[in-house]
Amino acid sequence: MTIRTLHKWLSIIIGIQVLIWVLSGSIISLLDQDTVQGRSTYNAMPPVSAIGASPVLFDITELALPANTELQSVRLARVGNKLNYLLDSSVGTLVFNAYTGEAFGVSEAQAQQTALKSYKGTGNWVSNEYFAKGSEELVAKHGHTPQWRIEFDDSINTRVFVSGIDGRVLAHRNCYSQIVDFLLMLHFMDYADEHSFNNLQVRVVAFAALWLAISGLLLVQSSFSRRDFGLKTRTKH
Amino acid sequence: MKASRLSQKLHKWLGLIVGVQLLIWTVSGFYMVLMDIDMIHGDHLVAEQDNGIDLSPEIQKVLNSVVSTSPKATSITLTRLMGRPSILVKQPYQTEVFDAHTGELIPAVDEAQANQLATSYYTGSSAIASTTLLTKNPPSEIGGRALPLWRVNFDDAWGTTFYISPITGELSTRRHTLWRVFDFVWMLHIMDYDERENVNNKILRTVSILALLLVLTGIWYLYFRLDVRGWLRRSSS
Repeated sequence: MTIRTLHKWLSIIIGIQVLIWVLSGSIISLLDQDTVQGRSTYNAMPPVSAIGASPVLFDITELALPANTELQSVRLARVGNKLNYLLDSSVGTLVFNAYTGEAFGVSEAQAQQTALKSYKGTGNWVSNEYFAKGSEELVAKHGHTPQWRIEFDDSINTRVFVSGIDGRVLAHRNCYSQIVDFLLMLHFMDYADEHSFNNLQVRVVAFAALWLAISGLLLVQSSFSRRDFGLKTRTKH
Repeated sequence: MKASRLSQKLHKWLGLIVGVQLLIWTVSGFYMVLMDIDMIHGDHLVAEQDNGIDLSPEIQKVLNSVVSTSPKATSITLTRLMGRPSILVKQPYQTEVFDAHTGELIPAVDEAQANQLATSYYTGSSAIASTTLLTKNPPSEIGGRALPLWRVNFDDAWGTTFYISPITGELSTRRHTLWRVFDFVWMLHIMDYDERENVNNKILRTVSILALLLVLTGIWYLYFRLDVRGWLRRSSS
């Protein structure tokens, strides 16, 4: 089989995916990453305030933990103006008021206020929605943890995600974030939505693409003549 | 010029201009999809740690006294560090660690201790080749992590390096040869030769558009090579 036939057959078999790679790659490169990643609407939050001189803390041994919870850490920090215990545990993050020991919940009003503070875009607030099992948009990074989604009516459809556990801002996302997620899925051939580029199909096609590129370069080398560059062909003296 | 001749000529010239980068994309892409991402992250090099903590009235007492003497702290965390329950106090420009049982300040990790910790985190059995305390000029491979850090190199086939915090004794990050290769081919893939993170750079934008034209002219040329028109005509008659 000649190099030319190999190049032709590889392009017949994987040409469409090569087009998808180059097209999705170009679009991602052309889209402004500050917008895609929500940095263009994100207003840096003020540094966390100090714990301060505290009155008596609630006894951590008395906290109402689910049975058989194993703890990895207990962090004392302010969330907004409240002092809380944030526990990393075998059942995820648990948050309690550090004075009363009450379980801490992020109210709709708090989530909305946090989202508004973190937003510097030009839109107005539209709506709040609670996702007890997390939003599909954040599942790769934050799993199925509870989240609030606060939507704004700017031109890029910004939505701010606030953690339903500790009330911090998880992400600013917009229509471009969604487009890039889709393009990356195509780029990684991640049709099963595993958020991975280590799948079998992409490995096989990438291997074929490697040979498409090698054969292509060999053809470039063999198919150019001096005439292509306006030079005379070498003549014997 | 006939369309078939034109498509071939354009494809050939675009191949000359961006062919080498196409090869670089396929080689780097193939490496990245082939290598398991958890392995690239070095998960196999790090032993699972017992990081559980138990709460007790004594620990609560120590915690209370640390809290009362650290009003400027932004977070105070009870967690297992260097194999024992500890209290980590974060202040704006200073981090300290106290023993959670005695309340004593734990001194900074020295070289012998850094070696001992590195060995305890390591799944391999190779010896330590060198240990250095980095205080300035952070290597690019640690990303934005703050110094000081102990850098512990192992004498193994992976080229393993552990970075350990001299304050908390925690494994800040780990690097090995395949990670370094991954980082290098990622740089080649996105053509950001300085920071290795900006996909919006002009070189990538220009070359990916040219590559898009290369693929489109290739598909156009293939249309003539395969005589798609004739084939359609024959099959409809």
